[in-house]
Amino acid sequence: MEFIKSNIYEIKKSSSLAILGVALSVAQLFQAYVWMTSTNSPLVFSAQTTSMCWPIFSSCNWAHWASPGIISGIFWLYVIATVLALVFFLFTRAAGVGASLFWVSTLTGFLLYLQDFRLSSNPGFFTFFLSFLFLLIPSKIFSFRWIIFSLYLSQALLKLNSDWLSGGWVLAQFHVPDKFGEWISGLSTLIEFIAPATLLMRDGRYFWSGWLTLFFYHVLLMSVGVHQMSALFLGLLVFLGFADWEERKLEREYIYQSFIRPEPSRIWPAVVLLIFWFCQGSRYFQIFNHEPRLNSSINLLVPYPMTVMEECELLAWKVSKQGWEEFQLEPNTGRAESMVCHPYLQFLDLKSACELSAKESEDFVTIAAIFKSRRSFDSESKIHFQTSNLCDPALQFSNIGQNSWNSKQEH
Amino acid sequence: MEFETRALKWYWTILFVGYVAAVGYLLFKANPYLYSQSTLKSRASSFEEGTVTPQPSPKNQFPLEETPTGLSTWPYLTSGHANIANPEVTRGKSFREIQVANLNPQPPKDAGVVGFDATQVLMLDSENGLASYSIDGSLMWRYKISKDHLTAESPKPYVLMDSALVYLILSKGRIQTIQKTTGRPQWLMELDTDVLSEPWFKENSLIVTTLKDVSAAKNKKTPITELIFLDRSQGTLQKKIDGFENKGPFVQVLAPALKARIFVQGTRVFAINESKLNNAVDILWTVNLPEEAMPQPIVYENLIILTTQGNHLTILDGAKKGQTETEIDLEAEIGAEITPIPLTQRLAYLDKRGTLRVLDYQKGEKAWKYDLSIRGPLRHLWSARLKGAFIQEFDMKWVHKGWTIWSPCGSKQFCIYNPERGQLINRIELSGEPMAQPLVFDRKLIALIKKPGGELAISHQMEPSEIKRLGLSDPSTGSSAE
Repeated sequence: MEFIKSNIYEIKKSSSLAILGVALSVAQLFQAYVWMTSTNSPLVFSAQTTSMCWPIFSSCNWAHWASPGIISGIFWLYVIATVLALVFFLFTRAAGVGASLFWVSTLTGFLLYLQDFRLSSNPGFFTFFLSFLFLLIPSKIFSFRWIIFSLYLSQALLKLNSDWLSGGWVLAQFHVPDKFGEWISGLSTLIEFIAPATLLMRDGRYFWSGWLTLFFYHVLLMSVGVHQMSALFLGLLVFLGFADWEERKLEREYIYQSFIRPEPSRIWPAVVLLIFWFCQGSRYFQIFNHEPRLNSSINLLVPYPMTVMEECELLAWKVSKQGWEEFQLEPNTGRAESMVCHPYLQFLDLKSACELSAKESEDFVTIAAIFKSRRSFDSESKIHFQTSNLCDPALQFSNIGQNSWNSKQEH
Repeated sequence: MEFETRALKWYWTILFVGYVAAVGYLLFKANPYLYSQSTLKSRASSFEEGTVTPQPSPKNQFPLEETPTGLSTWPYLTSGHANIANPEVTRGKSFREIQVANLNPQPPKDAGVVGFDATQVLMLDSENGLASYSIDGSLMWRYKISKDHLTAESPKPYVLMDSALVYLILSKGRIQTIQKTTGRPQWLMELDTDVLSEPWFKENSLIVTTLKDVSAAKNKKTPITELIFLDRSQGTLQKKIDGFENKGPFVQVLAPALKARIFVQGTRVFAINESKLNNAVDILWTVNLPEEAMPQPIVYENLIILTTQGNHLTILDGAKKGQTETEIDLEAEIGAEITPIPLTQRLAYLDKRGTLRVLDYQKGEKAWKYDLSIRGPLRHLWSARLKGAFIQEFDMKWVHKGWTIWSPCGSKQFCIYNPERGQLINRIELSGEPMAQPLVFDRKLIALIKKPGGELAISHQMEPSEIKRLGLSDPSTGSSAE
């Protein structure tokens, strides 16, 4: 409890941290808005009785402890707490109250986020990750400089591959020659590597040069449709600008003359950064690919790539007592482009379709499906799963490899 | 309090420069083409999928009760598209309707018959896809095709059947096979290129014709077809061989007597050596007609019978490199394919209005015609042999060995005619209008009919002697006594 109080005290005493609170509250509101307006939403998933587990959980029946009504209530509590936190951070000096409200907002939002793996997204990950760091990690201004730099670096590392550097995403947004698309992709990677490093520098020339570069970079990304992530990072840049200005006013001496609240320790930011960088490095060098459970845990702290040059195909049939019917899943609005071919998400969507189809028709028996994908630089497709009885309750993604297409079934 | 300096310490500057250099190195390592003319994207296109594979893979497919063999020739009775019944069998002239089985449930109004054999009837409609009914009228299974592959704009699917599987060939080379007895999908192959004509079987292969080089037309070259051989049971790709020049839509038919396969492509008719087809396309001869041929050539022994757009009949001799044997002007547009009547030098067809017209192709002239007042839509007819007793009874020529014309007539009948003089030999009464070419067995007929109330049903017709032999009850249908 003391730990939480000392963190709230640090927020109360710093106007730049209040700005950070505003930025993160806006990000939370953006997330709530996305959940309200898309089908990729906890409000939609809570109405389904089938649990869609995160990969690290062996089972997740606990995720449906609450009825859809309670989930809806929690969602509105989340929205109201976030709005109030924003108001308190922005318009009043009671940043401590704002921080307390932000605790409520973060906990309720994270509870909703955890409910279903299909809600996993880069904006969601960044929003809740940064929110918890804001609330829990001492020496916030110092740690956030490094954390923001680390987040940019993790994104940049994810761009060091042929999917991004071939320029496919840029060419999809702008009608430019292929080579130009490649250069823009390379340039954006360079910006995400180098500009954030200048945010660590005290020299105002380097700091503000990097700051302005990143500011215009995110404005450009926002103009081509990357709204949620750009809004989050613009908010963080605004915070960093204020933080730099605040430090220069020599407020630290005033803040840390208190004997009750000595200067916050910097060990915790170092620990968090170490863990974060361990995860990024493990993913980049694919160290733990042979350990699926550990790999899943590590991937919780690794953002998804912005784009993947990949083709995937889902062949699915609804099996009824009368026969087989080819069908296609409805596209899920709100899902990031790089996650469209995620095999686990496709599996979850099909499981959800099992439930809906059973309600629609008494004749419905099961769903049969084959899902395969091919990266642009691979010569062969990879079959991620194939089963003629996907609706079998015993069939989970973890054991789907043991189930083959022609397993004996009563069709 | 830490006193701030504006300048960077020298070691931080070195670290920063080193960091930037490392970033540059990693960037060029991830994209070695960054500074060259070629692009990373072009490298991706060189990694095209090496081979197409069926889904699911062969080891995962459902087990088949029997190896797929043979071919259902329906709506024809022979592989050469000639509706000639078994020449070894002589039949009686009377048939009794021993069973009428309504299709249950009734298919939608727009359903069409796409397959018919001794075990089942396949119906295809735009809403429910493919439905299989057993010969007793009950629904065996349905297979609903995705709307993406069955739109109004997509080409009509080809449907083939053999002893074990139903083959659905849809747009963009999507080939779905379905087990005949269970309706479960067996294998799916996606060729990602349009199939140019109806595929055909050769031994254990399904041969599909596609375009080899899609960009040839853009480069002003005549595009070449490609023949893709797929294993019938598992869908695996056996081989691809270069085909022939693709000069437009074409149809093909097997000519067993010529050991060739005849292709008709607009005004061009050519024959390919069937025995060498496993390895290469060997064109035996090519003929150019003065006008475009209609789809579906008929092959009877060495003769290739074609009708053209100008309503002419042309008969080529396949044994003489496609030499034209006969040309006859047709008085009326044909309603369905012409049927040769063996040993009589006669060809018979129904025109669109339901008039039976018989030609003497040896003399190159019309023989006779007769308005059959056909009320139903069926315009297919076939030829079959009658027993010797009827040759004598109806004063037919013994040299014709009893070959007669069997045709829909009136509203709910089949009629048998003497091809020589057009004499009516007998009528076969049905409970409804025949809707499709019936299955003709040695002693029975199975026909899809539409009853007066509009229901589709399967009519089982049998010769009285066969009814008696099998000990079945003989319903009185009012047909002429023998």
